[in-house]
Amino acid sequence: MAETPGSATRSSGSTDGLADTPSAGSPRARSARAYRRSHDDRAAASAYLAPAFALVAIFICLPIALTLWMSLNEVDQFGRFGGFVGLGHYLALFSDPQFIAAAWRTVIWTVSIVAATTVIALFLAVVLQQKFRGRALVRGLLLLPWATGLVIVSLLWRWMAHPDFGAIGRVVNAIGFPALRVEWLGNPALAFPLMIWVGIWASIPFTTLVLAAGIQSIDTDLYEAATLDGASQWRLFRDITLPQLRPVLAVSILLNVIFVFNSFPIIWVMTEGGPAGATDTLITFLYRKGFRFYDMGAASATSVVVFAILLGFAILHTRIMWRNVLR
Amino acid sequence: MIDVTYLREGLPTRLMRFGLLALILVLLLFPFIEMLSTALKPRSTLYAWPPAWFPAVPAWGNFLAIWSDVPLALYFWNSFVIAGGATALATLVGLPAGYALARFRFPGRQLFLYFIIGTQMFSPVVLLLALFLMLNAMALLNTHVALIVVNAAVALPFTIWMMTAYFSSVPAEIEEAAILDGAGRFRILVDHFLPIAAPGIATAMTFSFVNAWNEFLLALTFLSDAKLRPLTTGIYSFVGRYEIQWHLLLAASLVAIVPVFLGFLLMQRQLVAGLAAGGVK
Repeated sequence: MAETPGSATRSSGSTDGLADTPSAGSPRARSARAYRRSHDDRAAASAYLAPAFALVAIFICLPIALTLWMSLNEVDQFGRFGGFVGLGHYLALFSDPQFIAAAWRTVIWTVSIVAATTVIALFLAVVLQQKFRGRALVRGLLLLPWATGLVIVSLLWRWMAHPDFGAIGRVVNAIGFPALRVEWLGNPALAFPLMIWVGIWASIPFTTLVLAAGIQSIDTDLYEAATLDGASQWRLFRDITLPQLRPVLAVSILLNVIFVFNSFPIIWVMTEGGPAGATDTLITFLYRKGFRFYDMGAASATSVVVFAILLGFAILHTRIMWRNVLR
Repeated sequence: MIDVTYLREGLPTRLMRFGLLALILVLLLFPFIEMLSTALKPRSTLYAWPPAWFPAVPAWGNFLAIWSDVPLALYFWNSFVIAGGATALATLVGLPAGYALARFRFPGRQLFLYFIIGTQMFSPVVLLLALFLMLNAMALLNTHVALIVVNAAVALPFTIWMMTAYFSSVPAEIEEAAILDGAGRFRILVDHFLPIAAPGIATAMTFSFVNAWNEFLLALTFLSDAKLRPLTTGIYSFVGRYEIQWHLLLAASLVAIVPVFLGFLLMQRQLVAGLAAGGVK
């Protein structure tokens, strides 16, 4: 995989790359250092970085700061500030049973989707490791659910969950419950698991392709040596594939946690968090508070809570990326 | 590519494994068959009892109706403007930034890289309230510019990350030789770095484009004018009507998937490599 960015990133450590570490004594590194000394890049660097910095500062950093400030103030729906209230919004939020329920539901949502997705995708990736007729076709077909944006995916499943004309009902009727009529999305005890399944369905392709790419980069010699020693298929998986895949698995799990945690379209399109907020996650709770009820206090405080959780993920992600890629 | 088919393995294990594979594939692909079947149902049979798995007479006319009954072409155009604009902006801004981060030495470089990887995690959800108020104050609400700029800002960290990785892999000698020849920084970037980084640029652009193309939340929040809607909120607006015309909705959805799916097929290798390296969906 010489031409992939993954290897480009990895090789960066040994050239004049991101981490100025190895080959410090080589002639090339010396000439690069001499060259660096003779060029002060500060002025040029600020010119090259300024537009990017401005874009991120104005449209990512500034909104975060503004949200933080809003959460400590009374703000009306037109953005007019009406006085400092300190932690009042947070106290109200944490005594709101709907918020607490949405927070727990977000944990269930994230953990169950990511866990199931990872297991299924790992299985698919291992099967795709083997040569069989139609493998390229399977890979191509995997791209189909991924290419379908979440809005269309969610609309499609909403139609399939139609109590009278939906395909899920037809399947249930066909496999031995001919007269059963189910309001899949009207009952939160059914709607939420169904949406979890849609989340899994939508996450499998991406995860499988990442894990398959990871498996492809495992050294083939390891398998050959183990096979000569008479290792079984299961041993190969447990003792070679799994440990070798650990860094890729870590990245894919973390990314999925972040994507799934942030996911908005599935729940919004299928139930809008309803009935009566019973299928809300923090994200749909936030959206409804802000843009349906215009409760800017609750919405901004929820944003900050979500932000804090994301910050935790971001620190974890930064550390993993730094270890894996920049080394 | 690993070839492990030479492994000794019993027939039952093989059958079980491929049976499971087939089951998962059916679960993954069945919804698309249902989508096609519904898209081909005539209006009259959509809500007819008992529901049919497939329409007796496929109503191919649905695929024509979506262009006249629904402004699908307009939605396509709006999606194209938003995704294309965001991709162009993110690339134009991200290229020089990645170059500087990979090649220049200046204080704060490491910090900036941390900052870039960190901001990659912030989905627009947490920014939504404040962005809404800011865009309102800037009189950008209900414009494509708002979506272009915000989508570009969201795509920028990955673009920079990808560019930095590629530019770092260019050997220092090439750059030094060019400098001895008297070439300026910008000339070197265009002549020596862009050709090498072309695959990385293509990958980053694909991701920016597809993410903006499939983006829903920002479009839902910032655009109220029906004429400005991209495909995502345009198709979603079917739902607001009294009785949802699922046959047209799903026919439009199928058409909307085609360009992205074809793009994904073409870019398959770069996409997977990009996922492994930078971590975006």
